[in-house]
Amino acid sequence: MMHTRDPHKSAAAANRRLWRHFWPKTVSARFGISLILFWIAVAMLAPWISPYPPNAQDMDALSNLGPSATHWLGTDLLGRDILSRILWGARTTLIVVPIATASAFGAGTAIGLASGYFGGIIDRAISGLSDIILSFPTLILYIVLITSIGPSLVNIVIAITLASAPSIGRIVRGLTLELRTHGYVAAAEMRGESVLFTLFLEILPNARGPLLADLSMRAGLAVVTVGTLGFLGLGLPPPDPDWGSMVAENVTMIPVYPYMALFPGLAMCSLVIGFSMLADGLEEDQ
Amino acid sequence: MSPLLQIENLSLVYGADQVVRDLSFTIGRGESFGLVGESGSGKSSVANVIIGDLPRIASARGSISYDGIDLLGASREQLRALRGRRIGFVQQDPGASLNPTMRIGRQLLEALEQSDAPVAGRKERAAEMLSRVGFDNPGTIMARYPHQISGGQQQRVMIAMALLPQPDLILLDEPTSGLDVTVEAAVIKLIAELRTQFGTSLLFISHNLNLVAKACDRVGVLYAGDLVEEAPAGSVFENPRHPYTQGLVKCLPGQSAVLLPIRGHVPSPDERGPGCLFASRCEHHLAGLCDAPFDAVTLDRAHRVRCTRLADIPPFARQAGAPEARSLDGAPPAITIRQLRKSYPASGGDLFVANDDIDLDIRQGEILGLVGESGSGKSTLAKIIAGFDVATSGTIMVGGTDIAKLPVRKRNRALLRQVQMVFQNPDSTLNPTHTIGWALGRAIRKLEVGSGDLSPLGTRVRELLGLVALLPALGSRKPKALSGGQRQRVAIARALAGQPRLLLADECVSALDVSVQAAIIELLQDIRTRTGTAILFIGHDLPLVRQISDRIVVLFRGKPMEVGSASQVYSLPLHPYTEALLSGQNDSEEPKKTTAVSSTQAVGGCPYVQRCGRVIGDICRTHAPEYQQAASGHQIYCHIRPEELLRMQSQLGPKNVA
Repeated sequence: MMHTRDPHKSAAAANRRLWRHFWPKTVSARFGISLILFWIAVAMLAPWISPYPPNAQDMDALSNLGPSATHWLGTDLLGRDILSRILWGARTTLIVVPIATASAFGAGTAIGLASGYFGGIIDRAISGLSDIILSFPTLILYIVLITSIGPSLVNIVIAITLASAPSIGRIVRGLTLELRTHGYVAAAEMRGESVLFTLFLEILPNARGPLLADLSMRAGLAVVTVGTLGFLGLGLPPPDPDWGSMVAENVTMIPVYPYMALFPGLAMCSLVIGFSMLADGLEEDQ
Repeated sequence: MSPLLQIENLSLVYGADQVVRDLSFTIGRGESFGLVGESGSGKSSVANVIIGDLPRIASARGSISYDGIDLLGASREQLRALRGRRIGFVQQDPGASLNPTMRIGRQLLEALEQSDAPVAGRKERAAEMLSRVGFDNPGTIMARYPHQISGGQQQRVMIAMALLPQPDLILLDEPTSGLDVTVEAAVIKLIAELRTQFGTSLLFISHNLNLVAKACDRVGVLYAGDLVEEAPAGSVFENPRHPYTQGLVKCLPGQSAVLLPIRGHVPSPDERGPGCLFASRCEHHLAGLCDAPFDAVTLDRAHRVRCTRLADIPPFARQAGAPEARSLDGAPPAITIRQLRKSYPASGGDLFVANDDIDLDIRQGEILGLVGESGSGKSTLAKIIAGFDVATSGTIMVGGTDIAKLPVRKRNRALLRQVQMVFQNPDSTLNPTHTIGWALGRAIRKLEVGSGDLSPLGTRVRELLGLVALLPALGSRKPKALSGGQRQRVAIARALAGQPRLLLADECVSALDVSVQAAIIELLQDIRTRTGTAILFIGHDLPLVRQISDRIVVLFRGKPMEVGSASQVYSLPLHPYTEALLSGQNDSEEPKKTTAVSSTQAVGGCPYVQRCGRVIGDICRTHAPEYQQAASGHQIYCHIRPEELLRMQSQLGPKNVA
């Protein structure tokens, strides 16, 4: 029992509580979030921690491309330091992925809430449209979209949103259908709360558990998508590095210099693993 | 002869939590033993330990011997051989126990798979068993899937399945919760009959003391894992000795004039000390004496009581008599319902009528009880008044506005304030995301009368909490930290924020323990008296509805069959349906509601004619009856004159006791 009221102590206790609230409880979630935080730190610190500018060519290195004391992960065929390019490349991925995932979730949540809550014709219209989009293989959808509207940050975000909002919408719709039968939703309606209030303050907060896990999983998928688009040359325009295009640039060299494609690939893998382990852990937590 | 099941000093621990403490009882051959307890008393854990189905963290001490076999020391193979074959188990939810993808017949045969019965005659045995549990057409039932039969029928199938291998003992864990009153009565009757037929021993586990006392020879009362009293069934009601049992009987509706709730709450496992666990709620508690460990005291006739102060506990004094009647004849109506009708299109173009020409006034300050079996349209009526559904025709006048066709989203603030509702499920009535204070604050902001009141929101929240007898500190808690009874109180407070004219209470206490139930009933009555709010109380527990209501409406297929004061309807039920409902003889189960209803609607006769035992001729089938006045304020919907009905009851049927 604490009898004295020390403001510092209680502030510290509040911090601890906050920490305990947000720090995941399962080992896999902790591991996942550590990986993600690592890459976020790398992306933020890239200008300071990367040994070379990402596009600088080291002509001396061309005679010895492989990993060495000066270039820890080696250089590519143009003599650009792979480590620096990976560190800078984290920026591209970690800018596109959160924006795209947030946008997909915003759209998916909105359509899911609407179709689950209103039902009827709205539900049928939304579900029908979603089915049409989901019937395309996602890769084809991306290629068609990006080639027709051109590769840029905004267009990649639009493409990812369009391709994943329908399936997020389905999850939200299912959760909404169940949650809207609860007494507190009826009580909100009986005291005249607006539709938006009911949806976003009464229903959505109670769907957050399953949604958070899904969010993390989809962020991982978005990393893959951004990589794939970069690999296909549909990512952000060169010369700035992104992991997918790094793999693409060097893929023909794999028999001779496997590390050139391997290291950016590994970077991508570790971030995806981070997101999916976090998703797994969050699901277990519930 | 040694008893069939002998439990001695059984203690069950889940992790660090003591769930059952030092439990001893025996069940003789052919005897039925009832185990009663509120939620959290550990009663289901007892069933699970007997069949050897405990969570991994559980550890059991003591001994359970079944016909000489030590169940706690038995190997998995031994237990498997016992389960099903020698110990039958009927669980709470028959819908979840039956495999939805298999026909009933095959599932019954599976129950015989393990037995030594010859393969050839198994089908016949299954069919025979079905007819013994009350099915007229075993063949058709066996060909059906579980979803094609009603809940009551499913539970009969489960009982048949448990009986098939001819076990010596059947465990029934809340076998009738979730069933209609009338169906419940039928299942209890069936269980009693089968026991005499087969000589099977029963362990009947339930929260319902009434039910257990009816079906069993002996009753054990479990409180927080302690068997506080064990007595012959009759003595539990007539002469309960433990303060908890006495309290429990006092909060049973129909047992005394006023319901007296037990204050306080069941101690959670970490609050339990070595002494009497009821001590914190007991008015006879003596510090020191009651807090030390002690043994049960045996009285005469195998009546055991676990109370160290037994000698000082006064004998049970019953407050006899009916609840006090209140006359509200002069009061103006809070809500006026005229010719209300709700029909749904059903398959085949028929209409399924949920509410049929209802004329009803609910007066200010009145508690109107609405009873009827499930599917009678009780909830539909509440939904229409609340605005979650709209009427097909007719009017509902509230303060000069017709709300019959006005969905809740189209009602203005003034109308919303007039009608509020308390919902059935305490687990989902409050949003788990928000605090109690937030929920009440929203209700105040949206519904509060006038804006002249300048006191801050926090003060008003505390006032509302005080109105439902909750501590102000609860305002900062989330619903998860509250008990079911507390949550239901908050829900009532939320509904009262705008001082409504009418409060709809749809089965609002049916999910609560009896002792908590009594407290909520007391609160509703108190609120009615203090605020003058009219309450429409919908329930399936007839004694409970009688306890709280001033007037009662008996609904059958959307039509009021009998309307009268609580005492009129319960002590002098006239309509054949009310009579059946009150005596619990209403065995006949609804086949499929949609088709049956539309057929009678088409003919235009009395809706009850198909099940009525007092049909007087073709007039019942071809002509809709008129309401008849039996006494002042007492109406019935029947062709037969009230006096005639009374005469018929005294001649043919047993006299009903409310």
